[in-house]
Amino acid sequence: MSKRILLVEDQADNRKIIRDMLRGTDYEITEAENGEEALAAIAKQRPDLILMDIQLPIMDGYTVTRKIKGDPALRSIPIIAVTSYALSGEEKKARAAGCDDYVPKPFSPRQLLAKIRQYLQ
Amino acid sequence: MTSVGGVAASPQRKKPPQIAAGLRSVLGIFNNLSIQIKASIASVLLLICLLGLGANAYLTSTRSAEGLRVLTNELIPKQQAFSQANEAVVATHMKIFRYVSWASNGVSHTLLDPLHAEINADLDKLSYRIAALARRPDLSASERKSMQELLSQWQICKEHAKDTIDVGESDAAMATMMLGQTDETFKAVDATFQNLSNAISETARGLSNRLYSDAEVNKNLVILVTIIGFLISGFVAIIVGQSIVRPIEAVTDAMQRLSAGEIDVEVGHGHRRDEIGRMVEAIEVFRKNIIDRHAMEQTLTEAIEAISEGFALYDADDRIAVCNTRYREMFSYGRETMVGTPFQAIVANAVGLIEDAQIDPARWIAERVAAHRNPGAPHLQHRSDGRWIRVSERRTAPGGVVATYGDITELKHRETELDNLVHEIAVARDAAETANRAKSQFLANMSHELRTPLNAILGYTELMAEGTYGELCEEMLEVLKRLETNGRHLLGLINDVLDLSKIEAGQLVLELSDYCIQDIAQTVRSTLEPLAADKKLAFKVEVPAELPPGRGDGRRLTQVLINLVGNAIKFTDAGEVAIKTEANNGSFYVTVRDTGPGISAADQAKLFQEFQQADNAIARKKGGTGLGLAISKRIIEMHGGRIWVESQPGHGSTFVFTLPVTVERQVGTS
Repeated sequence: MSKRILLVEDQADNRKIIRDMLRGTDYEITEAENGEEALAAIAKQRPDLILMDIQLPIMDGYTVTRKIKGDPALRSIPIIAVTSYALSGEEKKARAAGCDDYVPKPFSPRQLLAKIRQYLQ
Repeated sequence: MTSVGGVAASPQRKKPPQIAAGLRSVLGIFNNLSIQIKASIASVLLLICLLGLGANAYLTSTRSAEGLRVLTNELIPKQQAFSQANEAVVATHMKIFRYVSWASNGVSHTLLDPLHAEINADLDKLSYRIAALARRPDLSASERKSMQELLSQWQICKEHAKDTIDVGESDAAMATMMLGQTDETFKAVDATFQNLSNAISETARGLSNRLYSDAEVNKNLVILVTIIGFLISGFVAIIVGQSIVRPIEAVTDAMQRLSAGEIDVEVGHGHRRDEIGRMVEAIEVFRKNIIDRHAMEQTLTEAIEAISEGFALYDADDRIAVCNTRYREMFSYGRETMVGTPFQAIVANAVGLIEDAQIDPARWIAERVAAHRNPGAPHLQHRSDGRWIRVSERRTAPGGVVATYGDITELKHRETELDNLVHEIAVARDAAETANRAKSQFLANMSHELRTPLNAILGYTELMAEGTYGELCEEMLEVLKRLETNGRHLLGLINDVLDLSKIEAGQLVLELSDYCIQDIAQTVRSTLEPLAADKKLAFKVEVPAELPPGRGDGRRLTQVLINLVGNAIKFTDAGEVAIKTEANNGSFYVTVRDTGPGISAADQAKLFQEFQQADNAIARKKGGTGLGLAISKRIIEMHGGRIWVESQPGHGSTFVFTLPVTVERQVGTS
């Protein structure tokens, strides 16, 4: 049974890149464009890993992460924050919010895929 | 006293010209005696005089009384007794003479016989009387002897008398003849009586003379003693006057002058060692105290006068006790003294001067007086002339109030200016902060906005190059590689600009955690070795395994080292690039050496400034933002370290940075 990845990303290009990147793999991908959609998607079907953009409309990535990690049923889902290098302390903030890992943008698709495989082994 | 007399007397006897000096020394010694002793000496002298006089009077009067008693009780009666006896003898003698005469003239027996009998009786009586006289106890030895003689004379006389009258009875002629002899015997008796009488009279006269001379002597003595007493009293009075009254007058005068406030008083007599001397010393102490107090008061008055603020001390009755000119000026009292003026009157008088009092003067006065009686924190008075007075009042221990009135108008103006300035600064600061926040936000947004498309470009490029969208020819792959290189350069520029902006804004915060310097060197090697290999440069890393673990921002230090090594590779065309790391005295020393063109001293100076590269032409050729070294310098400095370059044109360059192994706090940023 293939693993399910929830991609939370508001940028269509980024979604497409990741989708294209995962084309040759057997991971099943679900997409959400903002925090609320992400929570709705998780409620609908529990993912095995979440790629979380931080700067999201409606509800930002940190808030969503805190909500997921605050739920004992969902706490074990690994979350990889994918965010801009814009502000210092971003990685620290991501970890503080409960993210398991952190990949700064612009990411190399090859490196991101390696990180995903690391969590879904 | 005797010793004093002796001391005084000896020089007098030796040298008469020194009598005056001696007297003076006696007087001096006398002056040094206490008043009590002086008075005692005077009293004793007078007492001695009186005792002498009294004793003498007693002795003489006792003696006079005795003499008088002897005279009246003894001598006079004795003499009378002898005189009367003598008179009786004479009378009897006359009777005998008459009898013989009568007998011779033939007078009848009728007349003769009674006379005869009478004479016989007289003779017997006289015998008895004379014997009685001889037996008197108060006779002296010579009188007693005379009386014995008289007794024997009387016996003869009596016998002759008896014989004569007996003969006369019968023979008148015979009797007349015998009468002559009888007369002789009577004359002898009479003479003896006369002698005795004379002797007694002589004794009485001597006694009376002695009494008289005693009385005379006594009288003279009384006069003398009276004169001496008068002289002593006078002398004592003079001495007392000299040594007591006059000094006391001087002292009293001095005290009166002192109490009248005169302090330039010379008391004198301070050399004396008696009560007056001590009194003078005490007064001198008082005088000095008064002078000291006066000087202290003067000093205090001058000090109070010198206070730039208005100063006033109110007594327990709330009246001015002390105030300075400044205070008088503040209340428009000019030069007139305000001492004794009640506070209430001053406040009432000041209503016109004070802005705050204009609304309700009566209420203002009441509040002001109440606040004054129970002084609290200083308060401000806004004067009608625009000035501001700061009034500080405090209770004093004796129940008064001490107050200072400071003119803080200038301060008030400055405060207002300062307030305005502070407000302006706050506005400016708020504006700056707003601008800064806007800038930071802009940079963050911009970074995000720039990166998002760049992310897509780089992502698609990579995916395409990996053949995700189908097989590509060599030329296409070559173009995709250039696309990626340029994209990454753009990304580097964006990151550098962002970093520098954050540093400028003081927003770059080090993330301090434990790092391993070997790991950093390894990361740099794995990142940049392919670049060196492309240029056929040797890439050396000398990092000993035993280096201590570091604490700091490992990611930023990696950034610095990548920047330095990246530059070295970029500017070196042949030879090698070497990283060397060592730890010494708690610091890491990291060296990046290359065999590049080297840098001139002039260029070294501006190397670490923003947007500076040693050679702009080279920079354009080699790419790079020119921000890397400036950012590296800031990062190293934030770690408390230093970065510098050692280089000579043609001999390569060596970049060195050093920083504490353990950095627990970020060093303040500019």
